[in-house]
Amino acid sequence: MESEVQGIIDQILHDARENAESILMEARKSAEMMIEKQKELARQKSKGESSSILKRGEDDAETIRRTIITDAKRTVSWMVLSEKERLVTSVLDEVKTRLRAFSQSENYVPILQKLIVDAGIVLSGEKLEVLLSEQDETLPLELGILTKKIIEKTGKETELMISNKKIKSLGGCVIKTHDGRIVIDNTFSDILKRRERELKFETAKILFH
Amino acid sequence: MKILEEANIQAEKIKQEAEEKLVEVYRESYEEATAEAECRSVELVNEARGNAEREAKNILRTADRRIEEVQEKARKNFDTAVDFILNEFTS
Repeated sequence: MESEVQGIIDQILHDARENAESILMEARKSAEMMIEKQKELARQKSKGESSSILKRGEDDAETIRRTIITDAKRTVSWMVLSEKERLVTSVLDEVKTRLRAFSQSENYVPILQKLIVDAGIVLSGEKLEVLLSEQDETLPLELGILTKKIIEKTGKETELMISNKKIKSLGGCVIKTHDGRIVIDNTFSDILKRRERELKFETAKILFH
Repeated sequence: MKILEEANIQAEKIKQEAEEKLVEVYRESYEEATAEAECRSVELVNEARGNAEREAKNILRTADRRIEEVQEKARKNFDTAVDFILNEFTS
């Protein structure tokens, strides 16, 4: 009899413990699901911001790519352009060297005479001062003939005087009005300087054709 | 029965503790997701930079070849260019 009662009590206790365990398991399961649901909610909510972050990253990546490539292309263009500039300048340097030599040749005199007449015409004749290099002063310029040519073109009484002042030049002349107010620089170096842009352009066209 | 009573109390405690964690769990998960996106974003930028730098090196290598081409043309046409300008003065 006693053992039967004990048996029943034991069974009740056993059932109770099983139920208790079941209750606890259910509670833990419920807690886990709650937390998992919350994580999933957070992930869903974060999608918008994550997309923005990725889009920003893609845009930054593209900007960086473009910048690096553009810089490289610009560097190459600059290097090629610098070399072209150097080569064009070397042509002009050679021209200066040959002009220096030319100014010592017999073909130089008519050119110098033309430069004097051209400047005289631009200055409309009258009293004009002609500045030459020390070397050119000794050349047979025939100022009388040059004066006549200026008079023919300008219709004005003209007088050409060689100045005591000397110039240093590759060749060519400087012509001034008597009062010194207007000056025309027809030296080779000044002509080269005045026409530099145009001459460099033409030189580049020929050199790199 | 006491066993069941205690189990219910314990179960309630478990649920309550879980609820108290929810805000923190949300915050951590949100930050984890956006941190992943940041990481990926940085990777994209680094990949792009690496690729672009390789491409840039190839581009820079072409400079020498282009300069040689330009020098070759200039060598052929040098005298013609000099004569052209001299003619402007001497003709």
